[in-house]
Amino acid sequence: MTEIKSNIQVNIEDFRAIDKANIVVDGITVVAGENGSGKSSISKLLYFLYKTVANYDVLVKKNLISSLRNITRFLDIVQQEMRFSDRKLRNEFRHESYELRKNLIASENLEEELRNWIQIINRLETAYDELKDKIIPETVRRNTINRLNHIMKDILNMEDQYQIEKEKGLDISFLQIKDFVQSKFKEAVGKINSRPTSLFIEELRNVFSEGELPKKFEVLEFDDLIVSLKKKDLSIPYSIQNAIYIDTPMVLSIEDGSNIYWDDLNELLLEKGTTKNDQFTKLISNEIIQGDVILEEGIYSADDFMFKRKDGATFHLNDVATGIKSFSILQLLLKKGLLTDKTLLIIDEPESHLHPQWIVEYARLIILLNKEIGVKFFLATHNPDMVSAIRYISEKERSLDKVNFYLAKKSKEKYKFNYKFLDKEIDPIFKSFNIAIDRIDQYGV
Amino acid sequence: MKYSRVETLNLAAQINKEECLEDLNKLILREGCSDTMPVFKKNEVVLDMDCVEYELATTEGRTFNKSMDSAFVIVNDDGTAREIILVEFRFNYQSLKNLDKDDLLDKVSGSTNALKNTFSIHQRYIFIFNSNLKQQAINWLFRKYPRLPLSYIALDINDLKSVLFI
Repeated sequence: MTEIKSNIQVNIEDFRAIDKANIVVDGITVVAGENGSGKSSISKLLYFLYKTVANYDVLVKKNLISSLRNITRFLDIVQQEMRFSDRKLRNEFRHESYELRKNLIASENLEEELRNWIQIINRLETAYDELKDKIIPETVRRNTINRLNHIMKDILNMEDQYQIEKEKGLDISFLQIKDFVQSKFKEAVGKINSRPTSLFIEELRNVFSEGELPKKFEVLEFDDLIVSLKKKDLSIPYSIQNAIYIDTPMVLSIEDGSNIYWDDLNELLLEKGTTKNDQFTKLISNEIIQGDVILEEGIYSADDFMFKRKDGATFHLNDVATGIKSFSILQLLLKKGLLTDKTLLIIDEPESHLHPQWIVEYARLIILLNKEIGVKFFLATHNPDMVSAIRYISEKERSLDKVNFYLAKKSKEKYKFNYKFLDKEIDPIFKSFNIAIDRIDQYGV
Repeated sequence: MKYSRVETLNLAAQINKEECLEDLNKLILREGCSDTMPVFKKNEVVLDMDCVEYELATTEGRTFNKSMDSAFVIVNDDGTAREIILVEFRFNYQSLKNLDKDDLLDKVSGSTNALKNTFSIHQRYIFIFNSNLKQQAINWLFRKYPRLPLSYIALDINDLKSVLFI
C-alpha cells in the first residue's frame, strides 16, 4: 500500500458499522460505500471532534450557562417576588441578570464573570433582606418563602442532605446558591485550562443515541497524536480549526433540536457579519444558480434566507429548488468568510437533489475551493458522476495529489466494514456502483 | 464457446487476407497493453482488422472505414457452431474522456461490413480497457444506452482470456 503522508490522519476502530477506517483528511477525501457502511458515522465523528476541539472554550461556557440555567431562573423569580420593593430596583436586577448571561459566552475572563455573578446575588440578597423590615402580609410571606425554598432545594439537588428551616422565615440560603455558582465556574475554568477529553466524549454520547463509543478513535496531525479517547486531554489542532457539516441541503431554515448539526449550521449561516463577494460567490451566481442568496433581516420576524434571481424576482429560499439550496449554502458560507484553509467542510452525499449537470458543477466548485482557498473536504458519496468529476477535474486542475478515495468493503464480521485506501483509483468504487447495472439486467427485460 | 485458431485461419483464408493474421500478444503489445507478456501462451492468432480494412479500401478504391482492432472465431464444444468476435483494444486510455459513442458505432459497423458473407458475427462487441478503467467503462457504456446498444461490452484483458480463451 502507498505510504500515507498527510497533515491529518484519522483512525477509527469498531464503531457502529465501522470495523476499521484509517483515513487521511488533507485536501479532498472521498468515501464511497453502500448504505449502512458507516460513512455518516465518520462524518459525525469528525464534525463533533473538530467542533469540540476548535470551540472548546465556547462549549465549556455553553455548558456552564446550561448548568446555571436554574440559578438564573431562581434569581428572576426572587427579583419578581420583590414586588413590594421599588420597580426601578427590580428593573435594574432584571437588566443585570440578562447581561450576565449574555456576556458569559464572549467573556475572556471567567473569574471576572464569577465576581459579577456573586455581586448580583449579594445585592439581591441584601435587597431581599431589606424586605424583612417591610410590612408584608404573613400568609403571602410564608407561601413565597416556601416556594423559593422548594426551588432552591431542586437546584441544589440536596433534598436529603440539606434541610431548610422553614420556620426561620425569609432565610433563603444565598450562601448555598453562591457556593453552587462558584463550584460551576471553578469546574468550567478547570476544563478550559486542562481540555479534558471527557467533554468530547460527552458530546459523542449526546449525538449517538446508543451512547456507544469507538473502541479506537485517534487523530494525528503531522504524525503527532493530538486526539485519542484514551488520552486524558485534547490538544489544540492547527491544520483544521473549524468544521462545518452539511448532511442535507434541506437543513436551511429548519429548526430541529434533535439534530444538533442542523441547528449549528443554521446558527452559522444566520450570523451577522460583513458580506464578501469573491470569485466563487460570483461563479455560483453567474454560472450555476443564476441568482444570489441573501439574508434578509426580519423586522417583525426572525432573519431569513431569500433567493434573488437575476431577473430581480425574489423567493423565500424554502420555496426554491433543493438544488439551488445546495449551492446557496456554499455561497452563504463563502459570503460570510467561513471557508478558509483551516476549514473542514463535511458533506454527506453532496449530489443529493442535484441534476447530473449540477453534480459536476458542484464537484468542480469543491475542487476549486480546495485548490484556491485550501478548504478541506470530507465527502461521502453514492454517485458515479461525483466520483468521476472529483477524480478527473482535479487532475485537470493539477490538484489530484490532494485527493484521496476510500471504499467501504464488507469485513469478515457481519454488518461491519473496513475502509480501503484507493489513493487515486476509482475503478473499485465503480465496481460497487455497477452492481446496480447487474441488478437492472437481472430484473429488467 | 471458445477461441479457435483453426477457424480463425479459415476465416482469413475465406476473405483472402492471411497476411493480416497477427499474433495476439504482438497485437495487444502494439495497442499498448502493459501486462506481463506473454498474456496468451498457445500461439493464438487473430485478424488485424485495420490491415483488413486498409487492403479492402485500397482494392475497392474508397476511403477507409473505421474498424475494430481485431477479429477471431469462437466455436462451441462440438464444433458445430462458430461466430466471429470483434474486439477493440483501448489500453492507451487514462480516462474515458476521449471515448466517443459515434466512433464505437462506426468501428463496429466498419468491421461488420468487412466481414460480411463470412461467418455470423457475435452480437456482443468487446472493448478491452486497462483493469483500472474497466468498471468505469462498463458504467459509461451502460449509461450511453439507448444511443449505444447494450451489446457493447467492456472487459479487461484477463476477462477476455478467461471468457474466450482456454
